[in-house]
Amino acid sequence: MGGAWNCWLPSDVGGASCEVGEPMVCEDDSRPAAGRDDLAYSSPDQGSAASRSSGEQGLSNLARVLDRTEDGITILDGQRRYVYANRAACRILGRSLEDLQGQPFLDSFATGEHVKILSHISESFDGSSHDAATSGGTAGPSSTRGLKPSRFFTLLADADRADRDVACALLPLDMPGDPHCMVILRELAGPGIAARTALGLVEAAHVLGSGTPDETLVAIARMAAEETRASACAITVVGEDGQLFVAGAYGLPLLSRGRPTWRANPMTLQDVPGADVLAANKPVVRPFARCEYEASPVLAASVAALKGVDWQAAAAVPLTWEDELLGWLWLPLPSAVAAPSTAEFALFTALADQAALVVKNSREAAAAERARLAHELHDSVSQALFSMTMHARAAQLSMAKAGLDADAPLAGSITQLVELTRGALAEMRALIFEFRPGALAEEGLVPALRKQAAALSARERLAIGVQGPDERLELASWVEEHLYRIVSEALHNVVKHAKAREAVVDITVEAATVRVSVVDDGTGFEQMASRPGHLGLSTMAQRAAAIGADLAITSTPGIGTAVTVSLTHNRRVRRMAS
Amino acid sequence: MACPRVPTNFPDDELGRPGKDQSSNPDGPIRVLVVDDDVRVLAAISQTITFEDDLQVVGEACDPTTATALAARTGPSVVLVDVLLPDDTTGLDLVRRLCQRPACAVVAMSVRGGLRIPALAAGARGFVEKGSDIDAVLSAIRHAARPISRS
Repeated sequence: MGGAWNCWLPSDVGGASCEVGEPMVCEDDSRPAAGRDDLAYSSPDQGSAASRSSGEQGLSNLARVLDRTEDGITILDGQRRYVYANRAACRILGRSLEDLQGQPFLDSFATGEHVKILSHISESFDGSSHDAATSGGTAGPSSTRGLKPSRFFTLLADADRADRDVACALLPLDMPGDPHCMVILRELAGPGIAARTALGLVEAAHVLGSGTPDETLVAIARMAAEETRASACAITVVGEDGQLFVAGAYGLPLLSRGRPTWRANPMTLQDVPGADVLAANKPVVRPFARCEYEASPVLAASVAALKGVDWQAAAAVPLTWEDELLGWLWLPLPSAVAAPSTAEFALFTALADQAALVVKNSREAAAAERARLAHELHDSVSQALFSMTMHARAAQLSMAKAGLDADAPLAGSITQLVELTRGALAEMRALIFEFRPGALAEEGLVPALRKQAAALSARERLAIGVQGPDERLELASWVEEHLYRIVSEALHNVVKHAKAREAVVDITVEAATVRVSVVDDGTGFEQMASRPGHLGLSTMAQRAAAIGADLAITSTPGIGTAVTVSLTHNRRVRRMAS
Repeated sequence: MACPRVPTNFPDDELGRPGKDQSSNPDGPIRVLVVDDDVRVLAAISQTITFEDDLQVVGEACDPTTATALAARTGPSVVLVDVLLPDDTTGLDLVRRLCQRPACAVVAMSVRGGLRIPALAAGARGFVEKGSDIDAVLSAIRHAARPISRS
């Protein structure tokens, strides 16, 4: 009985360190009860008159020391049942020693954690089967080869109270016969939670900067899923066009690498339940997320990959940067979990902040790259087109000089060339406003609108005139942006729906009011019957409201349509209600 | 008593240096120096100007150094300068230097309309955006060649 068994208690997890076998002087003279054959141990309160061998004495002394520590110390047999639990362990587990003895260790822990705990146990025993009735390991009893301690965080199952985070240290015990192990439990309070979060952050920091933004996001998603009870993690990002896409994911089959093919079913912020909470930079838990998502035609495709996964509720933790919602960590939770624990939320928040940094940086890099390309593309292509225009003109003049008939094929081709070149140049110059931020501010609203009109005119064979003052308008650049886009939208409608022959963009300044109108002579539409979503009218209205301007749309079927934006200086900007 | 008649045309000397009075030049076309770092544009402008009887290209330059040297040697009345040469600092600098030459007008041009104001501020007599309106380029040259009226 007894025999020599090695155990050691790492000092950072707690507990007293002691050497087995050395006689210790105990305060009271308790004796080990006659116990089971494999190990002698007892609660120090039990006294008995069993014979004492020095081994048993040592063990009882050890038991006394263990009982004094605040860390929960338990010993499990080869079938992972409790054989011993000290006073602190009984307190943490909420059961008495009698209740615990012989009970499976795993029963104390949340169901979702079992796989993880078992894998830690088998790792510690270096591959020995965790349900073996046979003695584990290929190593001899006195060899410590293959035995190593392991540490992990996990959650206690508690019928009455919310799940509690604990830190565990698992120490395999090298001894003959059944492979026992010692598990030390420590509840995580504030500092413990902070320590766990810090651990997650340290690991995240290792990953950041060592890979591409995509790789980093996948690593963050992996950490969020592996360190917690979440079934998976998807980092959803709001694209600049408002559509959502998954920038990194873990645990979602088919989505861990690269972008999913959701673009066929684009999702926007409005489609996501709980988006308003996220926009307020708060995490959200949807207890019935699975039902919500699977029932929604827009969202169902995004969770199809999770069909075989156990999940019910989902948590979302926002990624924000300076009050802008960039996206969120989306974490489906197993059905046994109603909501993440405090420690889990702390980790998610820390990881979300890291992810926000990655997303922000890559967005800025992308925007800068786009602007640079737009610069270079525009400049060099415009030069070429300008030269072509001159040569085409020269060709026309040569023809005229040579007395060539305007109806001759050559003349026709040259004329086409002139037209095409003019159109291409106009389009180039209009595109620049789409891709080069600051271009509009550089040139001013009226010249920009002239270019836009020229481009559309050339492409769509619609006569578009622009009438406006030559002097710069005294408008903030973001206001000019919105006005530019409103006119864009209006002209777009004319081209698509109006079947007009002519459109005029008029910009007038009267006293303190700037009025921009787009008038066409097309088919018009029935205003009463108009659907706001159609014709992008709601976007125009939103933009107008954003700058504090009035939007008026009048249309007479068969006569034409007029879209007018009126902006009075010093008007307070109305906040757009969502 | 009749005032002596002041001759109004001063023909160029044999080296091509301009006469003092540029008010009207019935004896010859407007002398234009073209400066652009894009050779395609240079070739195209020269080609275009050959169709105009009242304009004559006296030199083509791709960089500020050549431009200044040619300006000194050929004495153009109008210099057509691309303001991005290749960047606006270099271009505007050249515009300023050329404007200091007497009897020399500079017309600035660019693919970027936003450079109009800086170019005019640097002393250019006119600005054209490199667009599809070629006649605008030509009229800008003619307009710049006219003397500044002193009133």
